[in-house]
Amino acid sequence: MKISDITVMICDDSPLVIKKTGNVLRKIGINSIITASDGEEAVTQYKSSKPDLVFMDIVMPKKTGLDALREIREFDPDSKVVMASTIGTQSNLIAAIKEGAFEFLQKPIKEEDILKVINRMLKE
Amino acid sequence: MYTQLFGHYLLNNGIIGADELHAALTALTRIKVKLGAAAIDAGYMNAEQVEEVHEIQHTIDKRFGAIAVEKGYLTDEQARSLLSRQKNSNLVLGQALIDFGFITNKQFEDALNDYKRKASLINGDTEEERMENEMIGLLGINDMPDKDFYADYILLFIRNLIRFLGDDFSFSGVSRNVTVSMNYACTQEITGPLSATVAIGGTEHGFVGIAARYSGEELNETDGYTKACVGELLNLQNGLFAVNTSNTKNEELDLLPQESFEKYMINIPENGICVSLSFSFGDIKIAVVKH
Repeated sequence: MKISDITVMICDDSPLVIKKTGNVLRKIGINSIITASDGEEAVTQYKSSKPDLVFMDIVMPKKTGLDALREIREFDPDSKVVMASTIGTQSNLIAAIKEGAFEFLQKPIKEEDILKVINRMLKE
Repeated sequence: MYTQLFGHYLLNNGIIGADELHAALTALTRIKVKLGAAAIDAGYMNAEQVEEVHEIQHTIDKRFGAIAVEKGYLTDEQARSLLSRQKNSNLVLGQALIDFGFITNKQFEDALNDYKRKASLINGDTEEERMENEMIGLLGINDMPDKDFYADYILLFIRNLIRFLGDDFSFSGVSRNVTVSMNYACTQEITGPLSATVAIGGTEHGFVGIAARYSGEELNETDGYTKACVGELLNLQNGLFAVNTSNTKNEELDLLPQESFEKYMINIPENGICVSLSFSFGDIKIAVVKH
């Protein structure tokens, strides 16, 4: 798979985060980007679009990122969901790993973090 | 930070007026050399390294010098030398006030000596304790049962404002036991052992100004995007506060999604606080009520 073939979903209730993360993705050649602004929409979008990679915020309205992660993993055990949160605490990290997160990043997400995740995904 | 504390001292003691402080602080933004720029100027670090340290400051509550030393970009001695230049910001503020003709050299000398004497009375063992004690004194919350919580929270917020918005602001008031209104506000609930309601907002100019500076974009009106930018700053502040609390007190906090309001009102009880700040772009308020 080439980097330009990847479809990424950004799920965050902040348009600022969606815009900034999207800018970084486009900069590295990823143009197929879908977005969701809460956990509920993330699950629906995932089921209909099956993106290759998901960047998911934890604190969100309607359904938290961890709940959405759980549902996505039930639907697709091979899903690759990167959890991102400003609360980089041990308990959040453990909860994300327990639910099968592909990676855990502390927000704001940096370009180099995204590149690392994409490279890991392409290798796997 | 030192500049804001010393400026507040000058204001509180009637040595200068609010307009004079505002003019001097605005002038400082044009002349003050940031630590990163000073490190480049001294040949200690390159621009890429400075940018990397600034990026790291978005995720951890550490000072520029501490991160640069950890990354091996500065030696302890180089960091100390740069910090000592920054600590002289009181002198720069004093110089600006003298240049404007707001105070005389003698008034500045007397005020600085008195400030230092008072500050030394509340010195802590470490730099962090000293700052926390100065913040408790500045906020006038010595009598509050949760004074440490409020001092930690506001201290972190002030640092984040300086990091992400700039330091061209002055303290314009601290309120307790009142109902505070804000034209526009973003709020967030912190849950867990130290649960609290927090809000940031202010006038339309203040609110849009926060969003514009945080996002680095030119924004002129209060729309959904502006609210999201202010909400993200609040979320970042609370995320860092949760991380600090987890690291230092071993207590885990959680956050609920931010909400935004127009014509927002919040009751500040005796054991709560609202800090008003005057930025060059407008007035803002930070309200914190621990449950």
